[in-house]
Amino acid sequence: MRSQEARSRGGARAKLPNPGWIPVGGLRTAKTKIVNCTHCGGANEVAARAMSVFCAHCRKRLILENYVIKSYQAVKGYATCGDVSVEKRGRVAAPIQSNSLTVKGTVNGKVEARGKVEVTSTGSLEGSLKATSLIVVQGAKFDGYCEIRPTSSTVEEPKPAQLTAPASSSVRSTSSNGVKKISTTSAINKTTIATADALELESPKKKPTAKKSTKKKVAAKKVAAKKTTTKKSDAENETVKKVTTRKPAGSESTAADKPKTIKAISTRRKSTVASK
Amino acid sequence: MADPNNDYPTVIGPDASFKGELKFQKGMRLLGKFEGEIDSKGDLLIAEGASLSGDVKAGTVKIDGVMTGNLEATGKVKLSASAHLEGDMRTARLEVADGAMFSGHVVVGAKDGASKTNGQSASSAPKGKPTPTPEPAVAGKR
Repeated sequence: MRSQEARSRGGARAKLPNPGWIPVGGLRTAKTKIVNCTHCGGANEVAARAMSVFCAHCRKRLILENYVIKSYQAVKGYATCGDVSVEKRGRVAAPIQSNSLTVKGTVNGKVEARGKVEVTSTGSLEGSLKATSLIVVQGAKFDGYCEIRPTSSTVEEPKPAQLTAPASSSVRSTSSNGVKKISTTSAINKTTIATADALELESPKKKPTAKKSTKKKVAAKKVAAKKTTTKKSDAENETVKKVTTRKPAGSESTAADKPKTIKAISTRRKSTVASK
Repeated sequence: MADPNNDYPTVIGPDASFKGELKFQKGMRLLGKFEGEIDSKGDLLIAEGASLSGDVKAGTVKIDGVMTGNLEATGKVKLSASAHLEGDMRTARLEVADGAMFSGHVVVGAKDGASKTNGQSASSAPKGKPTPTPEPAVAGKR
């Protein structure tokens, strides 16, 4: 029994993953963090040690460093996805965009922080402030317009730059859907069939972000397509006509089940064919 | 343990609404609706679900509910995560938690600082030499 137990234990042990292969420092996994672009606000997953990256949405350069300002430096402004700390002797007379801000010195300018802003007892902040949370302790000075909003409203909004890049692919994907939908409604409207078959247009407005330029293109394509597909539509009309005429009178019940629009359209088609 | 009944003896209940001017000594807890002015040295607590519209002058103000109007506090103003404040503010200390909504002009520490500096200058002036005396001396040096 003992031997069996020992075997079973051994077997159980053997089944366990061997911890010997794990390195002493643990498995090396790429440490990442998510930062929001200072230009467009889009979220980017970046390496934790990265100093700067290009935004995946607006393609602009993002600085990820933390700034510690210990003295006055003549700069246009500080814009970083990291944190900014203005030390006791630090002085900033420029706009600051950062994740969080700690003011121990003097800041004179517009501040936009995605996180917390703290003004310590030696700090002085003058200028408009946008942040998600704020602490101004006793002795600190703060004068300016203040807007505190929760993170959800300040962070993620659909960005136009974000949508431009995958626009073509999205249009394509929707176009396929559109074709499917059109095929289902092919018996309903011939003009839409003609134009939609040629253009592969989507019937519903799936993406309200479609640009004017794309609309113009679509309009131009429509015009071109109408010209090219008139013959197609004629042929289709004939086939549809045949189909409608071939249907026996006995199938009135099925015809009654179908919507009235089909009948009306078939008559329209007849009229159009006759006119042609 | 801070007892709210002791700290805020004046209470406007959740089903009450008040319109007018209110003064109190120690502290007030607002659970219902208030419309008007508050002028007090005591503390004010606007509980979650309560709403206050009007100007407020008080000692320490803690806001968990909704307030619309200008606020002047000699002590601390604390906005919790559920707070919603629209209006200008003048206070000595300010704490706005994550999730709170606030928009308005803020002046923190300036008034106190100004009064302190005035007080210091006023207190230091009698101790030191009177201000007009150095001016002739400087003029004489020139």
